[in-house]
Amino acid sequence: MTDDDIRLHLLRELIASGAAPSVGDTAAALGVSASDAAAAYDRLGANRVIVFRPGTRDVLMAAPLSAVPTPHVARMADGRSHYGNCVWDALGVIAMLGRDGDVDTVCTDCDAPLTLAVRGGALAPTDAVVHFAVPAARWWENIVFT
Amino acid sequence: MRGLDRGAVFTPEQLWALAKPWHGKRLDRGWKRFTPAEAEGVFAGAGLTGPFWHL
Repeated sequence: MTDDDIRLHLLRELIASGAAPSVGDTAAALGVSASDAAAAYDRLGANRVIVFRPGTRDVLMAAPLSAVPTPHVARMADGRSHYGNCVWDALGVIAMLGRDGDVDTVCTDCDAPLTLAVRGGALAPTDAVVHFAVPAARWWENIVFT
Repeated sequence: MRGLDRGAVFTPEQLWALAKPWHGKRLDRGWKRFTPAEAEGVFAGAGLTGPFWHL
């Protein structure tokens, strides 16, 4: 088992069910010890590949997917929906899955619902504007806020 | 906002241009996070340059 096996298992489970598997579930699914799975989770967290709820090994983020509901939803053409951590990540879900989809999000300026549509690998024209508040060098100071 | 400057404003097309290389290969075996230099290259590829995008 490599850390990449764990990473891919987390992503595939999030895609399949919307929930991130626990260390115990992952260990059982991949046939490894819980301590080895926990160590892999820790390394993936330390390497900023996944993000935990503070003080736990409960996966909160496995980019681009969120393990908890967010206002940024990738609605795929096959009818399935997945939560992104932010609008960038929700578009990233569509990019990662390589299929048509819509991102349903909310305008942070006026709270109006906003949809970004991806068809055939291209973003449909929109007059929306994107705003990033936190400079790139500071994203990981508080990734949940970012 | 928490002592931050005004931030960066750009187009959804640029965000999509960022999302594709940033996340598009995450289901590939052997995927690796970008190095800071690689990440800045991805930003630049989407037309996002300047101090805000420095790592």
